[in-house]
Amino acid sequence: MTIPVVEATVAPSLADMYRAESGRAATLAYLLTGDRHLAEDIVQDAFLRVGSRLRHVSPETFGPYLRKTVVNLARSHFRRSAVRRKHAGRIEQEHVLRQRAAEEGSTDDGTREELWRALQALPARQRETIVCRFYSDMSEAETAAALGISLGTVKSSTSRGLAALRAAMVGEEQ
Amino acid sequence: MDLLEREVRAMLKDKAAEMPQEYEPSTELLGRTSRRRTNKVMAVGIVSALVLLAGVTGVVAATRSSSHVQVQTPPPKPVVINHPKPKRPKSTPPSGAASYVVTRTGKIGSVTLGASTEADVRRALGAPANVQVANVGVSGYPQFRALGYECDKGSSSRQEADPIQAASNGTTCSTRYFVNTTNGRLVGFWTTSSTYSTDHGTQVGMTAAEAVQHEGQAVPTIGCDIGTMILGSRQTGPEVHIGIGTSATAHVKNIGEVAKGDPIGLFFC
Repeated sequence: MTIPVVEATVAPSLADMYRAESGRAATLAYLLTGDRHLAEDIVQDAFLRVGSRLRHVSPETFGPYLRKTVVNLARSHFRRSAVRRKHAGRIEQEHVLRQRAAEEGSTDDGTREELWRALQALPARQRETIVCRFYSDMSEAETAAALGISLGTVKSSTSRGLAALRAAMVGEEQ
Repeated sequence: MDLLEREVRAMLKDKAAEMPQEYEPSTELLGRTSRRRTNKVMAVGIVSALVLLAGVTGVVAATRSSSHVQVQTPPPKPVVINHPKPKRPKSTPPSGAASYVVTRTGKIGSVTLGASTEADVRRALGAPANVQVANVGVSGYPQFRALGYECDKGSSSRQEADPIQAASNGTTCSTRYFVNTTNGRLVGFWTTSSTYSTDHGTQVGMTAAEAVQHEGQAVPTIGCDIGTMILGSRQTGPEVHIGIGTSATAHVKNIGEVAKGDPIGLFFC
């Protein structure tokens, strides 16, 4: 149910909900944004928003609602150019550090870092569907519901995302 | 599963392991939410005092500095007018025809989402019993004016139903029309009254099975819109929401609709 609520009393279980859901939510935000600090900010923000609506969100729908809010906030963060520039700087820094580590580490680690970079370079919709499908293990229908898009869009975005990752990895190898 | 898919899963698993699996709620989080409660209690006191003054002056203006909500009631109307309201059936479908039809094209009775103004709503329905200025508290969405009809005070059964009840000092309304303050257009609607029905005949109080039969679609059981039947898409036009729930004995609890794009974020999810 959509929650057209301005403000509501906060249920006392917010702290428990936070402990139970924050780890998964932060991981989801991290995989979507590639920035740990930004991910934690997003989760904090998401909890403030969802927490203020706890009265209207049942415990069983809290997790899905939180995850959808995280996805929406991650999207809106990317829309803001200032944040995007800051984020790009962080990503670049992290990338340089990770590349050095990868060069020194095993081939598997290097490949995964390249894959991670390629994932972050995907359009938001494709990245979201891939994270939902392959990290959260959601079905196509669940992904469609979580992202608010059609089943067909989930299928096409996932397929295009995987194709782009494949192309990026082949390019890297060449 | 092909090689790339396996690699993507492994990479995501690796990356996920970089994040802590559990966080402790920060004092900022708990502090901010508890401050909201405190502010709400304070605001209730302040607004109550102003309501008493309004009896003399006929004017009420209340502002809650720390929340997104301002309470306004246009003079010379009192804050709350108790309109006679129809009884809502508890377990049986409402009998009799609805007075207003909510269509998937954005018509609600004689007014139209995205086109009508507050003046049009007042012409069609009379002066609202309660008016509030608020926003949904999500960045990017503007303020709206919520015109309330069939209002009363202290009805706990309706508190959950009014989407902006928490901002209204205990006053709840069974029907709200939302006007975007940036352009003066009607952009949202919400009711728990059985005097409204969809163009396919669904009314508040009907069983979930009847609503499914009328509208020809199922009620989602997963995701953010769980328990809400959604007709149309706000991305391409008006979007109707029928709040039902997912229990075996669920009934239609509310009907809402937003204009294309949901300009005020009423159905933010």
